[in-house]
Amino acid sequence: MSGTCVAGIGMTEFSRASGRSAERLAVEAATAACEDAGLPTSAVDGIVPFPFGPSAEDLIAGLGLPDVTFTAVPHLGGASTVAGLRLAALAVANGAASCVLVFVARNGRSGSRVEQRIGVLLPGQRYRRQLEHPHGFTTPAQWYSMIARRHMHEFGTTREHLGAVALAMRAHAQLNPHAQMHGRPMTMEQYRSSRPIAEPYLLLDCCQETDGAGAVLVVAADRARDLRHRPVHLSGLAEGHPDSPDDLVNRRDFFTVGLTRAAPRAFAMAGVTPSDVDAAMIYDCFTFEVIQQLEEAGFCARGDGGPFVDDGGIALGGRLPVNPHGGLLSDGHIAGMNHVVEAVVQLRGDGGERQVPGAEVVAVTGWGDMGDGAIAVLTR
Amino acid sequence: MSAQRATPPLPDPDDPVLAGYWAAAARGELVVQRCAACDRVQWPPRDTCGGCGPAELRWLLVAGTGSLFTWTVVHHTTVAAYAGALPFAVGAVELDDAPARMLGRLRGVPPEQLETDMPLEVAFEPVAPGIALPVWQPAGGGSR
Ligand SMILES: [Zn+2]
Repeated sequence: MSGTCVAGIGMTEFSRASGRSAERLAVEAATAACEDAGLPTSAVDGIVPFPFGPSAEDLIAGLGLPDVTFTAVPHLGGASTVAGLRLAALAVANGAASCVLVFVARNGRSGSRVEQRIGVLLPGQRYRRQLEHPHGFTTPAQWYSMIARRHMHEFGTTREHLGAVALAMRAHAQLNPHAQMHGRPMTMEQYRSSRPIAEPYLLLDCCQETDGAGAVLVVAADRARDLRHRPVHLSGLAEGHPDSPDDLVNRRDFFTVGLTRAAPRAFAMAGVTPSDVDAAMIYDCFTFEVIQQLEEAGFCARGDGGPFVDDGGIALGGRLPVNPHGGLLSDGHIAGMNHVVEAVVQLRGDGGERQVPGAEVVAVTGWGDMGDGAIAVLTR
Repeated sequence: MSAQRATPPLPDPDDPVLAGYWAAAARGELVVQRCAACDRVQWPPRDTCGGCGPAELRWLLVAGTGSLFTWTVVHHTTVAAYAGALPFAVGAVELDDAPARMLGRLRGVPPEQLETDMPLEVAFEPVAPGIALPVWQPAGGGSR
């Protein structure tokens, strides 16, 4: 979005039991983002909350803001974080607000767990309740494992390819003290022997559930230049929706999802191509979704995602480092706000042991509901 | 265990969009939705036509045969009524005679013997008075 930047980032710790409310976690992350930017919390005049969790009103009260001039709530499931980043940039670019807070806060483990939460938020409730639930078909792992199975059949994607994604995320988490799986390395044998959840998905194909929060501040580029850190530019932003966005199995082109349509728009807006990207933050709710999104975003051809992630392809030092922080799989699941934060960390050069050398272009994807997609291209 | 006594989620046979589908299933018939104006078949059913908007929609009888497009084997469930049935498979079945993929539980074959594109036929499982659930089994492989 012409002339908008991420000027501040903030996160709480990740845990399985935060011991405090999601509203408090949100205020903590928001306050940290303001401190990171060098701005008072009173500078926030726009708020984009995640569709589930604390509201804009909670943050207005929690931060003691006199007023805000812009709020909006995206509804793209897990893609709402990146779609919300775009809403914030649109608002700033159009003068609707000057400093927009985008945040995700949840007690995803100790409070309302993902499976229960997602059940009531999904589109197509009639089909979910009547045509799926009576068959015992009720969870994201079950829907998305159906895509993985068909991909394995059509393109020869293997169990080892899924495992390669899980292992890369876990290895990255060993370099990130913030990650929930820090200090807990994993072998392919441990991956393979984890219990099945919705085959082909095993337990270690599935992301964690997390208590925690993350927040970013979006401001105009000319303002960002005067703040504490090197500005990180929001150079390309897009969302997209698949055919039959309320039903995953009946789209004519089974693998075309929202990201397939959004990615070319975001790259064109940023004036870059996928081959210019130095690191990618891919919404890794499950292992296969990384493979599919790498393909659909254009980092490799459709069907080549398995070989692309193999042999350290998405590890640090590989052909395209993915999620140096460990992702949803091994850092934690705050709906990808940690992916946005990590993109900023990498572009500031603050990644420490997990820094991608010379990172100048980072893409962040979001995946949600029945294949909604969003993507942001961030540059330094 | 309470799991055995828990009630499985039931469809609403009076749903304004799906009532015709459930009425057909109760008669042992499988139907899809077709637009009276443009003949477009759509699945899942909706209360408008994706081709021409607010048109009249009718039910089209189909053969109830198809092939297995993809499936999942459920080992973990959040629905107590299904805890006793684990593991079970749910498939997306590509119908032979209409452009539709139907979701349904798979029966009559161990999950490890399922194969992509294997031929299947529908069967109707009574789940409550007046309500039958279309499920799928190997073609020619079982009783209706
Ligand atoms: Zn029509």
